[in-house]
Amino acid sequence: MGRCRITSIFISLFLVVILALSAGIFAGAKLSINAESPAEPTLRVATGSPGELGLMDALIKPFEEEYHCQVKVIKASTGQGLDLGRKGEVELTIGHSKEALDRYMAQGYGIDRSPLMHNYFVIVGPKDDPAGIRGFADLTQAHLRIAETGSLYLSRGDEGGMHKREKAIWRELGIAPTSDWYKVSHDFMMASLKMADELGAYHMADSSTWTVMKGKLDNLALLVLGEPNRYEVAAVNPAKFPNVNYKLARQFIEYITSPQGQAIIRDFGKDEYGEPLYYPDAQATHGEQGTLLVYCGAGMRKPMDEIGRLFEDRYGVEVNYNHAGSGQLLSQMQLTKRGDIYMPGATYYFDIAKDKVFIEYHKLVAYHIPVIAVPEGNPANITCLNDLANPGVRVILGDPKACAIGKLADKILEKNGILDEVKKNVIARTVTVNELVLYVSIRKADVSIVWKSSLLEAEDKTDVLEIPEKQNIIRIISIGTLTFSENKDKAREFMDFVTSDEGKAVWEKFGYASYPDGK
Amino acid sequence: MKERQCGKNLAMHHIQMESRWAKLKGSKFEALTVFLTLLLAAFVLAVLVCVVAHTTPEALLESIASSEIQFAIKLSLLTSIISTALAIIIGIPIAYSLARYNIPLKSLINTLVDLPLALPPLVAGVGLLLFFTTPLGEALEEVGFRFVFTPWGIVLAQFLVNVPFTIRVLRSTFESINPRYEYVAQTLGCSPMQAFLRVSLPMSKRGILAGSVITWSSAMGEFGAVLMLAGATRLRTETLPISIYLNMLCGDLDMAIAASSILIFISFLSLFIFEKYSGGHAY
Repeated sequence: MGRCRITSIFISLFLVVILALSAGIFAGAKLSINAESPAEPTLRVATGSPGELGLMDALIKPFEEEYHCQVKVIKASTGQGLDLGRKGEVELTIGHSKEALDRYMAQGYGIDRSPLMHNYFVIVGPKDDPAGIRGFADLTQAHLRIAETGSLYLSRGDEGGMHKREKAIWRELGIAPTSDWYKVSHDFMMASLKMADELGAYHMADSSTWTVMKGKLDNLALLVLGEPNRYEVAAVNPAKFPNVNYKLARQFIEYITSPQGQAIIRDFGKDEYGEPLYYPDAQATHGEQGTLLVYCGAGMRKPMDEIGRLFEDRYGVEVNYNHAGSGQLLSQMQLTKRGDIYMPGATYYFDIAKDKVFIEYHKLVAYHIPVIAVPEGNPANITCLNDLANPGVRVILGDPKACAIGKLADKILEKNGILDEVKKNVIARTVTVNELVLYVSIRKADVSIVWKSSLLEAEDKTDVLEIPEKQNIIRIISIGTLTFSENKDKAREFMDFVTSDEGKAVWEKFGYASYPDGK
Repeated sequence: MKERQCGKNLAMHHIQMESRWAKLKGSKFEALTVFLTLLLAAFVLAVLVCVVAHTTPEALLESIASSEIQFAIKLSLLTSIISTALAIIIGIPIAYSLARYNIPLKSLINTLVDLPLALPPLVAGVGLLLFFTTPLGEALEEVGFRFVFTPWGIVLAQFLVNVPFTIRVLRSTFESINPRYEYVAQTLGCSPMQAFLRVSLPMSKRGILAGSVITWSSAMGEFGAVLMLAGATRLRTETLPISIYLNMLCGDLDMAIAASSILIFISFLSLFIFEKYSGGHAY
């Protein structure tokens, strides 16, 4: 019994010692953490409006928790931010001037440059829109209209990114704004927007700031959604400044360009403002891909097919076309209320779509030129437009309600005063321009009026007669994004791609004159 | 005694089991088939009601009264009556020969005559259009037989697509008449033609009527072949189906519905007449 007792005392003592020791260890550990916290690694990030609008806070929190570090955001315009990098005073710069970043990288200060996200340049202005720029998608065209109408315009005048873009536009247009309609705010974006609101002036801003501010602005409306304003991130090169925390900077870049970081960017502001403020760029090929449905006039099938393929390769977004007569497409859109892009053969249908509020933003793409098409060898000896009225000539035209060329052919004939005579010769009307080319090439008709471009592949079976410019009506092809699109961002990218230099090259290859042009 | 009957009983029992099983299976099977039938009937009805009920009766009447639909009705009636008459006139001797005589290569000819029935009308239309680009077709057009883009093209397209159908109905009608009637008529002094005209033809009156109605109804609805050969030109080659097509793709739903409603009415009417006169076993 006695031995038992001694043993139990020893065991108790042992337990007490262990408890005491472990408590000491825990306390020590805790102390050491407290002692370390002021020395937690710090990351300094220079950026402008993404910080101002709160995006950086949303991005930083999960990163700080995961990497036990502190991220400090330094408010700076792109130029200032890059200068801080040049002095080694920050680890990272997030900026939106491609040229400035190009220079920065070339000088060797930057490393690990990566696309991050974008918003859009926008032009806002008085709701009654005296310059008539609503729906333009081209900043330069909109600025031209503002200058032409002498409408009140507010400039930032601060030599920041937005002001630089504005100056480039005036330079491109060759316009020197005059003080009777041109005012300067010398202030930041939010303050400038308020000032424009009070003045009733046009003003160029970015879409994110507009989204945040629009609830507080009574007199302004969003009129022009311009090109994307792309943000990129770059770290400071540790070879230039060994003191910067390059490892942490690198981790931060990896984090904000990861699916997790890009999702935060994509969702930021959605709940509060009903739409995202920024659109992620870094995960374009992994993120939400979706498909685009494009309503495209049947006459433009070939160039658009090629552009669609190029776009798919570039952006990994599948492009599906609905090719039919322009009027037919319009009624399909009306019935289904689905799709992303409308591109009819003539502005007539485009204007109807605009009146029905189907079109959100639009751009001008190329010229569509009507010509006279005859079967090879010209059996009815057609020499000019007036010959269509000769007795016995078999004329075939498009249905004016169904396709753009049908509507336009009637107008051209009317303009030349021969519509009634030619109508007597019309043996049939078709629903698309491609049918007209087919029937002429199999000699079931003597003559037709078609788009020049639609004859490209039928050259060996048809002959072309140009219509003199005085007698002709040349159309400009428009492209627009649809209000009911569920993929507006990608639709917008597609529209921009169609009108890009790469897109224009395709148009010219298929016999169109791209816009703008001397003609 | 008991032992001997046992086998018999067992067999009886087996048969009873089987019939019970069949009954059980039959009842479930019956329920399933009836259910499917009702489902399809309801679906067909829903589709038709959707067409007619899409607009108000006033709008429907207004569209029917419009000059475009009036033109389409007249053109459809005219072309379909002509093409049906042609199909019957030409179909009767052909059907008779196929029913009565042994022609060399009969089965091959039969297949060729029937082929347009199985062929999509669009293909028949493309074929017709291309035929008129050949030297023979061009020559026909030179002489004045103009079919491309003309109402006559509608008649031709309707005829080609529907005549096999007419022939099938007529053939089975002639086959159902015992040739002995004609033999008897011939022994009484009729020539074969007289025997046909006086005996077989009057006897197949009902079949011919049924055949005409069903041919006419599908001629009214013929679209693909007509579109290819005659085109879809407003107020020129615009039949009721072409009118649906043109107005549908230009977004004029009311007009399309008006034309559709008329075609639905015609289909009901002709199916009713067909069922009444064909006795349900015309082909």
